[in-house]
Parts: sequence; structure tokens; C-alpha cells
Amino acid sequence: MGVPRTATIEATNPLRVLRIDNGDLQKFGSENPRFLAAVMMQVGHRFQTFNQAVGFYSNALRALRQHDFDLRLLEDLKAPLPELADFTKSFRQLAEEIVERRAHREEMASAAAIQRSMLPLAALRPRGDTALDLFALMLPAGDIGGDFYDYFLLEDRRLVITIGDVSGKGIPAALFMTAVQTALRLALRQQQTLDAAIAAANDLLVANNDEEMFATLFCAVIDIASGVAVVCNCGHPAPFVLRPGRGPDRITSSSLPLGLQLDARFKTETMMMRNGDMIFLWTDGLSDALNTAGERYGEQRLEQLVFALSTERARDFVLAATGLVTEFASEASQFDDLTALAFVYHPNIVDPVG
Amino acid sequence: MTKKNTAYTHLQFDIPASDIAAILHSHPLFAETDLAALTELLGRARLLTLHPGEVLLRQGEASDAAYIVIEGSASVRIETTMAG
Repeated sequence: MGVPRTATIEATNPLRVLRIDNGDLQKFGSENPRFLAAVMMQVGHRFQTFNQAVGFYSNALRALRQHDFDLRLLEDLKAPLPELADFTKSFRQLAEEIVERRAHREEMASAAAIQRSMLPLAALRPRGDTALDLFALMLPAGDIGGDFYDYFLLEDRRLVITIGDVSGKGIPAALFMTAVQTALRLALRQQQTLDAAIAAANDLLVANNDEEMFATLFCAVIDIASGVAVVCNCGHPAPFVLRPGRGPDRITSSSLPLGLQLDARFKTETMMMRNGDMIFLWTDGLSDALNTAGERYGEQRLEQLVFALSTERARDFVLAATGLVTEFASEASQFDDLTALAFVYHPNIVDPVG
Repeated sequence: MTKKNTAYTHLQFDIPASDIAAILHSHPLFAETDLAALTELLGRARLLTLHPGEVLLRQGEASDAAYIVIEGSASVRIETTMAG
């Protein structure tokens, strides 16, 4: 009778123990009240020390949650009770891991902030005139994305729009993405033609590519006065060209993604943009979006969506398209970065010189 | 129900009872109790010797006695259920 044994005790050296039957001990206790009092005090003392330890760890956990935790606190409590020695060790390991992961997360958040700062947000106003009808949106899947887009004006006359997707995820992809973005901006400003610019950027990226990363890219350089557009698709999902009153176009890939091959050649196409024509750039985050049933949105459904939407304003178009895709995905967690950019061409925005 | 374990050696007091009483008396649990009463208690106690590896008591068994270590060392092992 009595409380079941709470542990197994095994001799590690020759062990000599005194065994006292419960009955004898109880009789002894009733005849010697000082003994019982001593037992109670021992138990009380144990509780006090134990409670102190539990209290300490409770506070420590709270501090961990509130990002308040200093690992040096654990030095103060070096196994207050032998019974808690293992626990203290495990707790310390856990605390160290939590602090480390938090530092890593903060680092990732900083990297994400740097990366996001590379993406343009403001409207473009050539010569201070009415803003171009252009809108871009990126919804990263995790903290750090591999998708990128860009838009800027060359000599206030030619609009450059780019979209791309870097292989991989996380910090390596983000770093490569910033390299791609920078190389392109530089090359597009320095080189005479689009294919030369992309080739120059490509060679820069291949040269410094230990991780063997690559990036798909679509780039268009559009003369905003004449509507002449030079485009190049390097392995990227085919953008849409939507023309009111006329059939839509897809600009399919003609060249290798960037970063793969030194001295690669890039093939450009020339097309005309007329008033009201829209070019819609997107990444496979849209076609690859999964819903809770594991169903893929798919390129076919995306095509139907794009053809059905009104192309009057870039911002409305992008928000409607991405909105429908995210609605499809609903509760399912986002698998990949989702990026979309739309530009609607209006020639009479630009005031001709003279 | 006491298990009959042939590993236990019943060496009834090869150590004088008064010595054991003195050892007990040095422990906080027994410090306030007079020696005479302790010696009387020891008359009803048994002194056991275990070899390394022998189990004194097992987790889950009914507890029917108190054990006081006089000499030597032992490991304490607690089995818990893993958190799911």
C-alpha cells in the first residue's frame, strides 16, 4: 500500500541501505513527533527550492517570448536541485536555440527590407508630365523572395520594364536577385541595344556565380513617343499583350535565362504598341498558386482571367488579377512569390518637343 | 508484498547499531530525534547490501518501506511518456 515508486534506483557501486518497513516507520513517527515535524520541514524546503526554480523558468519563458531574454540569466541558476540538472541543461539549449533563431529571423527581415528597397514603387513622370499608366505588385511567399521587377526611364523617352524570377529561395536567391537587378540597370544605361545590354548583364552574372544560380527575365524597352517596343524573353513565362479591339498576343521565350552561359546570345523582337494596348508581365507564382485542395491555378485559367479583365487602367488590372488568384488560393499558404506588372500605352501623354 | 531477492545480503548489523544510529542522527530528518529512539527503530530495520547493477526498487512498484543509504551510490531513473 502507498504511493507507487516514482523512480527506479539501481546500485552503481556497492550500496548499503537501511530498510525500514512502512508500518515500523509510521509507528516511529507517531511515537516521535519531532521526526514527523522534521519530515514536514524537509518536504517544505524541497517545495520552496523547487518552486523557486519553477518560478525562475516561468519568468525566463516569458522573457523569451517577449524578446527580453539574456542568456547570462541562466548562469545564475546552475542546477539548484540535482533533480533539475538535466532540465536546466535542456532549458538552456532550448533558450540558446530560440535566441539564435530570432537573430536569424531578424537578419532575414533586414535582408528582405534591403531587397524590397530595390523594387521601385513611385509612378514615372517623363519630364514631369502625367504619370505613365504603370503598376507593379509583388507578394513574397516568405520573408525573402526570388521574384523581381523593375521600371525606369532612359533619357526621359524610353521606358524600361523588367520582370524576373531567381532560382532558389531565401537569402542566396535574394542576393543573386539584387545582383541581377543591379547588373541590368547598369547595362541598360550603358549599352546601345537591348540584346547587348542583356548579354553584358549575363556575362557579369556568370562570372560571379559560384552558387550556379540563374534568373529568368523578361525585358521591354518602349519608346513612349512612337510606341516602338523592343522585347526579350529569357526563359520567363510569356507576358500578355492585350490590344482593345484586336486579338491578344503572347511573347514567348527566345533566349536562355541569365547566369547560365558565358557569352550567350540574346534574341530580341520588335513590336508596335498602340494607344490603349496593355502589356502584362507575371511570374509563375500566379500560375503555380495552389488552393487548399492542392489544385493548381494553371496557365490556362490565368489566360482566361487575363482576357476577361478590362485593360483600361494598369493598377485596377493588376489588383483584380492578383486578387482573383489569391482568392483561389484562399487559406492555402503561399508557395511562391507572386509578381505582376502592367503597362498601358498612351502616346499622347508625352508632349512632343517643339 | 516483499519480493524475495537473493541478491540482498542480510548482514544484520555487522556495523554496530549505535554507529548506524549516529549516522542517522546526522541527517536533518533524524537530527531532532533522540538517539535511544533511533536505536530502537533500528532494531526493526534491515541492512541490505547491493552489488552494482542490482535494482533496489522499481518505478511503479508499491512502496512498502523507506530506504536510507548508509554507504555507496545509486542511479535514479525515471521513465516518462514522450510528449506527442
